Amino acid sequence: MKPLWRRPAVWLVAPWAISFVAFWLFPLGFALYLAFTSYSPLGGDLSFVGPQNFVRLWGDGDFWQAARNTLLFVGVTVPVTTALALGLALLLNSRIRGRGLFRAAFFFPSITSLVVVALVWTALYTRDGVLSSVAVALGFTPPEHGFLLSTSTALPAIMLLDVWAAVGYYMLLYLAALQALPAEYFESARLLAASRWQTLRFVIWPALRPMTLLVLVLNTIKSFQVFIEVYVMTRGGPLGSTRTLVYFVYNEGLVKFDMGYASAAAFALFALVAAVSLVLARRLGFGKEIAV
Amino acid sequence: MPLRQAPGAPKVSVMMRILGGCLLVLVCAGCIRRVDEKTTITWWQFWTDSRAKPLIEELVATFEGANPNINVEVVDLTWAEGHQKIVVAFATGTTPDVLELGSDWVAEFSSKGLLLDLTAEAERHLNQFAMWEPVAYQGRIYGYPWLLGTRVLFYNKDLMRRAKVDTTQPPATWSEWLSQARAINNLKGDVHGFAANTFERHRLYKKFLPLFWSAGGELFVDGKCALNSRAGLEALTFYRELCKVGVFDVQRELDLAFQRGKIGFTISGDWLLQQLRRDPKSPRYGLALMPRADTGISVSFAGGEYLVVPKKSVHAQEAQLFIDFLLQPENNLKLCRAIGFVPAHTAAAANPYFTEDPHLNVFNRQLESSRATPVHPRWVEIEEMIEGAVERAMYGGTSPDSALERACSDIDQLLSRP
Repeated sequence: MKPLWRRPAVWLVAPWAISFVAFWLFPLGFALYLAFTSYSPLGGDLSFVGPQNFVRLWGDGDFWQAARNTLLFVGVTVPVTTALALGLALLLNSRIRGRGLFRAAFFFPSITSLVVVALVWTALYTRDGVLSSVAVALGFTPPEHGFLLSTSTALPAIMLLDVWAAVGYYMLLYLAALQALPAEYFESARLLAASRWQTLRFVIWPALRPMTLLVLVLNTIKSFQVFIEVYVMTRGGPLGSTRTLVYFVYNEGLVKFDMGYASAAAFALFALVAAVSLVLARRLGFGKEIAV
Repeated sequence: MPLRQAPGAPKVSVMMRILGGCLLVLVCAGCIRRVDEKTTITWWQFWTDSRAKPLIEELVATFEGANPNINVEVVDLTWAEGHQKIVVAFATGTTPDVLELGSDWVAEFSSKGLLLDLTAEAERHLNQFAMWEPVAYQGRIYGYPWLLGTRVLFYNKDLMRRAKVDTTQPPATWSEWLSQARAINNLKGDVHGFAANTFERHRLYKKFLPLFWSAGGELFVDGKCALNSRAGLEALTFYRELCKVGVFDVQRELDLAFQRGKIGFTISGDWLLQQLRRDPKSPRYGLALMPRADTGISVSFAGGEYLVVPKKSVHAQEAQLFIDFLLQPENNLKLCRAIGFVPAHTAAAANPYFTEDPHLNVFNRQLESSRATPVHPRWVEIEEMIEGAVERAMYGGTSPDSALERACSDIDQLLSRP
């Protein structure tokens, strides 16, 4: 038997395996350990303190507020983005004038840095920004200090931005899936005199199910991790109304440097994401064959 | 002695020898070069704008000219991210030799023994500089005061005139302040009585604590949070009333709004004065001491920039030399004139440039009754809790007393944690 280091496969796998262990598995395990310590980079105490971080988390109103905001964010933006992406993909899959231009236009936000997008939208949302004027013109009263400085509109404002920024990417995924559908599906639908709605409901929708699952899972995981918009636009304010779980973890870990507590919160987020992803996958029949 | 070689692998071994030889040559070359190499010290600092940065570079060049064997490498930090970068540097042992720290950050590091104890050297200069409190911890001194800044009341004379308020009588008490701000807020057009800070970190508490102090409050009494005292309630109730006639935004936008003549009263620092002086379209404005609680005295927030040497520095001597240079009155003065701060060196602060200018003199006078952030190793966390209380009251959902009550229980809980 050759020694391990003489086998080519070992060498081929090694670069990935080493980086996986060093930059992924080890930090993950270490973070789990940290969640049971009161470690701070300046204090440096790595002794085991038991589950007290989790107990503290349980009684921390800020954490629950962040969890609520995050769930609301995911619960609203994921379905809206998915529906919009599918609608746009269907529209842009038909032969309409300027199709290429529209496709590019809707995809454009996805290739723009989210920081830049967030800064631009911050300007739109200010007291004397464009959106306030639009609201006035439509007969609404915009928030007195601007959309991002009112506890009732700040989170919806960020959600709107997120949908706008994300929809193009998922539209592209749907578009690719639509174009991969065999022409026979549509032909048989036509022969059976199916209406447009029936074609969509009984042909396209089931055939797109694997893509829908992918879109939902990708977008759910990404939305649970919403951070950049919050960091750039509101820093979790006003009054914590836009504080999300990742922002909470960031603030505890990298602003207050309470690493143990932040790690505990990060694992709570991990559990939440894993649970929701599992439910999604089960509900949508992950791994099932497509029956047409 | 010949090296033992595995059969079938002689080529590798030859390669190794060649490589090893090269390495040896390189290492030796490194040793030889080190002998006449200059000492390089690194300096982390926050002055990056177009007015201050050239002066920083000029100061460094002058120092290097006078000390040909020392190189100074300047690294710029930003206010938004600097604190994080500094904590990470201390945690990983990659600290610079000279570090600029805001007055409210020093205790976090000095209390953990991460800064070089400069007591012996500093004690010889005690009466040449003002505001040592933030660098003192348990009787030792861990840094030098460098630049001092305080906040004063800026008032817009144009708006006061329109609101029929005597422009020669800026508000001296809270009730005058509130009634004048209300009068301005009632004017037609997009104008506001007051400028209220929102969610930015490290800002809001600097607006609130002076009011609390002016009403006679003390943050800690017998090691317990005393924010929920009568003074706290009085200050927060007043601040909430003031915010009701105010516009909410981040500091930069508030300063800009004042500059454009849209705000009656704002609490701001020397940077706003510089901005107003440069802009020909600025409204007519005046500066006054912070109005006092109807029963108290005028108190403002004093912040400062301090120079410290991290304990890990291996060039502490050169670092001290560089700090001495920066603190010389003429260098201290030169930088302060450009950035608008008051020099920590008392001789430099007594320069006619500061005492004879009617606006700058307000800062000088206000400094006499200004207080710095309390020295506490966990200040950064405490500050967030105070700001939380102020925000809760500002946005109207919570009454001032329950907001303060909650902040105090949070702070006491924090202090009880190991």
